[in-house]
Amino acid sequence: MRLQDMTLLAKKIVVGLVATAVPLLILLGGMHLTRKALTSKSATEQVSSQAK
Amino acid sequence: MKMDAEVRERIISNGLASVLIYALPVALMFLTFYFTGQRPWQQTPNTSVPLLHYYQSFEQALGPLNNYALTLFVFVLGILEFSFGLYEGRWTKNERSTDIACFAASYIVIRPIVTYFGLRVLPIVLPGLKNHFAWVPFFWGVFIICVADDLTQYWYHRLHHQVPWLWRFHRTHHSAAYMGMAMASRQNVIYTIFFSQIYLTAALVYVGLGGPALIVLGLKGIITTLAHSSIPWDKPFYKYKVLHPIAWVLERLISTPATHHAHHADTTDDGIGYYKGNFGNMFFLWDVIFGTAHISREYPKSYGITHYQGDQWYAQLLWPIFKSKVEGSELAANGPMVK
Repeated sequence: MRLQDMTLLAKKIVVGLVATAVPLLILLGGMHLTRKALTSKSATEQVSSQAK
Repeated sequence: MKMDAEVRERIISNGLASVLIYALPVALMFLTFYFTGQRPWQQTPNTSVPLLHYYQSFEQALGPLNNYALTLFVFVLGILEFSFGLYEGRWTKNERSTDIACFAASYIVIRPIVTYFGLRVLPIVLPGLKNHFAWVPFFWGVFIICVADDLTQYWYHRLHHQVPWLWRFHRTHHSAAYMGMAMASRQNVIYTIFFSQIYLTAALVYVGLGGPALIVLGLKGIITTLAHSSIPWDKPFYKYKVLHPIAWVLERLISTPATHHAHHADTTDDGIGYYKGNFGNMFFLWDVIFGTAHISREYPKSYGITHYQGDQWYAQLLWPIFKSKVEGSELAANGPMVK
């Protein structure tokens, strides 16, 4: 293993990390927002129906 | 060696489109909940499918049933291939050693790393998220994992073909002059260790999608092994006219032996081989969407890399840690990046 091999490995690890992190963030963020948005929507609907 | 400007532009535009495709299952799930009023996180866990819930922890989802069943399937397929003489005497001692070493490495090296990642790393990286999204209904979980796992593998694979400095990590998978069940796991160990989709799926299992992952990974194992196999299960679909509509759908949806064998061809000159595309693993749909598909319904006459001269099995398994002794090889100490 030479220095250029280590550099190559480091670059490859970065590519792998990006390829893992981008979809993971999209999916976790999407599932979190789905629950958050629909929970607050339900709560708002409940409050408005009680007010009536 | 630099990447072609046109290829770079297509990678960027297709990559941006992929962001939308990754988000699609979650967006559709959101719309379904919005219009139907479903709020699965408010429900108690569904006990009507106990088997699926049994597998909803990380340890069990990637547990022995899935592993052993797929291993058994690969062995049975291998026996069939040998029985029909499908390797045609091209499985030399060096190729045999490479295939067996790669197959064993995937069990000995990769599994402990992924298990460690799941049990030790994920609780640190995603604190408090264990089973946090276990409320995702099974159907949507399958949809999410199908897209997440396979689209990520498509990109990982495509980049190793189109980015010149990544090619040598993937070269081992293409060096054999034959196709067979062993080809699916014939990979350089560095390529396999950093398989992005493994860690992505492990993370999704950790957050609660274990049941769907079990089903998707089992199905994916079968499709990808059969696509590499020398048993042309798809031929009857092309032969009989009545089956042509099914063939049309199948060959665009999943990887078939014809499309994936074309990817392993040693030339593109015959109009059949297409190692510049057909990167899909479970789904071929990604190739259709991104314009990297080539469908001919025919099988290449020869496979591998034209300039391959039998690099030692240890160099193919562990490059760049060990180098090839073959003069001028891409895996040799002073070899070219792409020959």
